[in-house]
Amino acid sequence: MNKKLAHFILLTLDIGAILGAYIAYQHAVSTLSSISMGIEKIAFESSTLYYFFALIIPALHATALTHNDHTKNTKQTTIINTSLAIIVLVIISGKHMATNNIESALANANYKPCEHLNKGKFERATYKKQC
Amino acid sequence: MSELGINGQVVTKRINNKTYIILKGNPGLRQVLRGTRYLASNPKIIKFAIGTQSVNRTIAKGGIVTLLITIPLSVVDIILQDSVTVGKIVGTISTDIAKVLVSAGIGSLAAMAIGAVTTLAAGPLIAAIFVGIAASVALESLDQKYGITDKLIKAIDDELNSLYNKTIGEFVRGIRQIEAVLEYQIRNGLPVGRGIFY
Repeated sequence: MNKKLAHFILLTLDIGAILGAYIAYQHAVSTLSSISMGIEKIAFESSTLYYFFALIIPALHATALTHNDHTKNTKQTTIINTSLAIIVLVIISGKHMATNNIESALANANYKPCEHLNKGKFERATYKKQC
Repeated sequence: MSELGINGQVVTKRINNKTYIILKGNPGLRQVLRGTRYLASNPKIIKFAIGTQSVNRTIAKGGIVTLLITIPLSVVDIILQDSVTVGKIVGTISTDIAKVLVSAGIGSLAAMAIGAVTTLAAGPLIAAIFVGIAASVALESLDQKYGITDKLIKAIDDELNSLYNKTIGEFVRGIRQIEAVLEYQIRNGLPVGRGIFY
């Protein structure tokens, strides 16, 4: 694949990834605020938080941009690649921590998942204090 | 990753119409890939999913496995529901296949793009996995939001009902009409079958 086309595709995916991460963040924030307000019915779709995974694309793209082809296998490359590995781990663990935190916040506020209100193949749990 | 390490780097080069994967670094430190260059179709390279071509093959295999798991599960799920229609089975399976293909395509595109701009060995595979997951969740979410599967199921059911009415339904109506005429003729002592058979 031509490099220009590759950068264009990656730029498009970067925008999509940032948009996805924003949607996931908004979903998490709105769920937490609904819990604090004590709203009767909360729809928390934990699968939405998988959008955070798409942030790996901007990270990889940034890595590709910072790589200097003339200085291969240098200390700089090692630092960049290690940073990328850390970013990947942070994204994966961050997603799982966010899901667990929201689910435990729901449980602490006495919200229960109502199976009969669930939709879709992925988890799309609807939580209520009384199902 | 264990073979090439975090800093494992690969370069894809096309020589005499053959694609080669050139592995950077000290080959002596590697356990399996002890050479410096391999054909992109080399089984070892495919096994380790190094290079865009191998990643694409892995994505294709993964897509097939996903379909082999998803389709029977969807069929069982539908059969266990109260109302089973042909539209439900065909519509659900069609959208499932479309979702798998689109997410695999997006993952593959991401892998190819990453493979073109970076020499990082693990880059294309990481991109394909994570973008694939995000894309499949996004597609499922869009399906739920716009009710694409439900609309497709309704359209298939409507079309099948209309087809039934035009073919078998029409035939059944014709038979019933003949039956009514024959019954009338028998009850009223008229020659049976006149106007229909002769």
